[in-house]
Amino acid sequence: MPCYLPCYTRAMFNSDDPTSANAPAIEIQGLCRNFGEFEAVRELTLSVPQGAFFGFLGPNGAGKSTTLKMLTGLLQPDKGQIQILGEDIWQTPAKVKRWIGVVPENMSLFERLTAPEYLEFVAGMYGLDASTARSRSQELLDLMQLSAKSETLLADFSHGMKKKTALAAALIHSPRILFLDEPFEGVDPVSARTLRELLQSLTARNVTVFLTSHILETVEKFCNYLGIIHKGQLLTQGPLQEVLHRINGSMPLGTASLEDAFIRLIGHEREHSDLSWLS
Amino acid sequence: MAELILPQQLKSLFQLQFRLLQRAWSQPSALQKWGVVVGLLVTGGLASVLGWVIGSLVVILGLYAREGPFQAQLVGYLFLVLLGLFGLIWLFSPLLFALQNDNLHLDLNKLLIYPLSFQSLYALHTLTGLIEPWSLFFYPLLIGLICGGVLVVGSSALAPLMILALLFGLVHIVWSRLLVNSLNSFLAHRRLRESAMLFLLLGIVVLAFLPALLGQQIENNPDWQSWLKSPAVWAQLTLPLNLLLAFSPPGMASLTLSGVLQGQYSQVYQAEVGLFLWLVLGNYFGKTLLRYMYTASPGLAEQAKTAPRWWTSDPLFFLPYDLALIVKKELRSLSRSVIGKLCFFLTPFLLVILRVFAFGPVAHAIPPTAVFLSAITYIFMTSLFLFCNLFGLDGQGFKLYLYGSLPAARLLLGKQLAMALFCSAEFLLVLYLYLVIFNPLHWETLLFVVLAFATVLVGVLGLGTLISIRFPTPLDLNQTRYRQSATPVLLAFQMLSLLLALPALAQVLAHFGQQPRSLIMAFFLGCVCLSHKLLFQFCTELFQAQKLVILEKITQPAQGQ
Ligand SMILES: Nc1ncnc2c1ncn2[C@@H]1O[C@H](COP(=O)(O)OP(=O)(O)O)[C@@H](O)[C@H]1O
Ligand SMILES: [Mg+2]
Repeated sequence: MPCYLPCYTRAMFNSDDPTSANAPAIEIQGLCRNFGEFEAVRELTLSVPQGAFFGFLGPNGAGKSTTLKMLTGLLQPDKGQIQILGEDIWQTPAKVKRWIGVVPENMSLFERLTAPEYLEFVAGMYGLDASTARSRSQELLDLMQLSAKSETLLADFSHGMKKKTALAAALIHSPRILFLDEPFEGVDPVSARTLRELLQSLTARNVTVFLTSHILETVEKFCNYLGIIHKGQLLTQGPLQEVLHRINGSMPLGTASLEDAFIRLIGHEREHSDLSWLS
Repeated sequence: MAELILPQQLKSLFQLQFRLLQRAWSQPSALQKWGVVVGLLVTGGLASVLGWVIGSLVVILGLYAREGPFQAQLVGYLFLVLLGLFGLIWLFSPLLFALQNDNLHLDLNKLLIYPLSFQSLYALHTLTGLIEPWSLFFYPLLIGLICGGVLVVGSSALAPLMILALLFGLVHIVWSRLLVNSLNSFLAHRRLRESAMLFLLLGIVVLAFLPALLGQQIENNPDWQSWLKSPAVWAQLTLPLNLLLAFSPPGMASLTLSGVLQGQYSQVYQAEVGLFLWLVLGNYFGKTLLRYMYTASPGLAEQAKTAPRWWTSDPLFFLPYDLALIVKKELRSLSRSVIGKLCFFLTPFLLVILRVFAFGPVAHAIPPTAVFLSAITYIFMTSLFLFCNLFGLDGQGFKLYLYGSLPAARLLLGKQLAMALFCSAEFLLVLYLYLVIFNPLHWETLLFVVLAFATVLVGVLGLGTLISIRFPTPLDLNQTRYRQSATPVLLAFQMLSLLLALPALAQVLAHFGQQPRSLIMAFFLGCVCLSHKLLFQFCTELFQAQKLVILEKITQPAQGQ
């Protein structure tokens, strides 16, 4: 376990801490969002308990990022309720946004800053004082193995390095809930392992992680809760084993992986030709 | 409490803006920096002079207004016109900079994930308008206004005039932000936006010609002065002027100003309250619109919609398939870039303007050859960067050419063909317009002109390809980057002027040699074609050697660490 964890305490915004300690971390009721005629998310109802490591799984274009944007106050829902730790994020956005850390789809980095400058900026945005900001950003950069690149502008980072910087920025204010959109896309296996351990130790301390991915292994390895979305509709949700069991039905556990379950749920529409010209 | 912005947040935002400006400043060369400094100094000087002029005007008009009620009313109108003009320029000048430089501005999309209330985000967005360059230009004017008023009335005018300056400035910043944002969201459709930009630019060109047009009209109607002096005209003008005075922001500002100058303070407060209402209204709309833009339909602007196909058969069927693909791809990206459209329409547009301003016998006096040679000059001058920047628009897509098995010669030929088609289409448009709005052409002139065009085109193609390969760094006109050094373009300009001299030379030779000029032009064309063939082979080899360098240059992020 990285030595970094002990100093990682939830020190700030104590006065704003959510009132009900046992409210679900995320509670969604009938969430809808259209883009013109197109229904990107339809009637999504979902509940994620505190301390869960929730994997939001679905093929490309299923509506994962759209949902995550609505959950984090970046995209207005057409219909539906979103409660984060018992508070409606669209009613009191500034308050709720303090409890959450976000890695959005496009990462939203200011590319003309270096990584330490960016992290210190983010820390300031969450109201951390300068010395805390500096020490935390140093620790996070060490953890992400980016300290050697502290002079390079983010514009010149590789995709994976940008992802790691965005992750570090999402962690710096010690959030209660982390929303990560495809966080491991492009991140090397060593860093991914470190991050996984970090995230898992966070969930052990009641931090909730909400992660979207289209990669089954990620979800299978990381998560203990699972939701599967396809064409904007939530197909199933619940604890990982339960979902697997539900989908695979009578099949003996162990032989059926998440991939089988996923394909069974989603892949039945394969009607394309067998591409015989691909010799 | 939760709605307020924390001091830490404010400090971080300030630091961020400072760093972005600093990085942008450290990027260009010393020469460009000096250019910016000199530009700022000149602008500052100009603005101060204008401020001085406004101050003096306020003094003079203020004294004049005291002479009687009629004079006071006249001064009120004059202030209205003055402040209205001034306000309109302030309101619309940001539109010229609609291509916003995202390396300099705080991007609200990126700030949206942080715990800032929307109120604070809106305030940030608006207040940064106070430090935008075009706003800086207007501060000396406001100061001139205050000083002039104080000189006439005394220090009792200071407070109301300062409130006036503050309100007037804020109203314009709020409404100009609102204007830019609403245009951006109405014009979220990419095509619409680009066409609107094009029309705006063309509109500015027309505006520049307007005084000449007016002058001509006045010359044609010698009794315009008596028309203006007739009382009926004035009676018609006073009603809209009074309405403007009562309800528009510049009207309220001029009411305030004349109220201060004449010591009528009830009028001053009334008008200032009115201005304040305008501010509140602008704020309300601005905030609503901003919230809509950023959270209700984000990415609206990014969604490119494809136009319906209006032709079904392939218009380039006569070309080999791969060549046709490249040509179509190039033409498509040209037609989708603002600069491509601008290059395409500028020369035809100038031709129309030429026709508009050269009335009657004057139009017939211009020899058609001269018109066409100038048109050719314009066509190639405006599209020279496109010729010298063949690979710049490709970006990451250039990799595809390297992965594929496409021979280098095919690629270069395709790009050259696309440019040739682009310019020829423009030339055809010019020809067509000439035939429609000027006179019919003699076939000999037509032949000569077409030969001249072809000669210059072939010459520029070879030249441009060579420069594109040797200096591949793309020219990015989007303000954010100044990348291509000017040297190759300057070089190209010199070579272009040599090529443009060829038609003139042909005329001279024809005159002295007693030969038809088209014959000589055809001879030149042959020479240019021959040298192009040799140059093309050389370019192909050079391209093979340079292609990785080109890839690196066109895909690297903007320089300047
Ligand atoms: N701003 C937008 N305008 C129109 N359509 C959008 C917009 N954003 C997303 N979409 C569409 O919504 C669907 C879901 O997108 P998204 O949530 O990003 O998928 P993913 O599950 O891969 O993250 C896609 O089909 C996408 O094209
Ligand atoms: Mg996505």
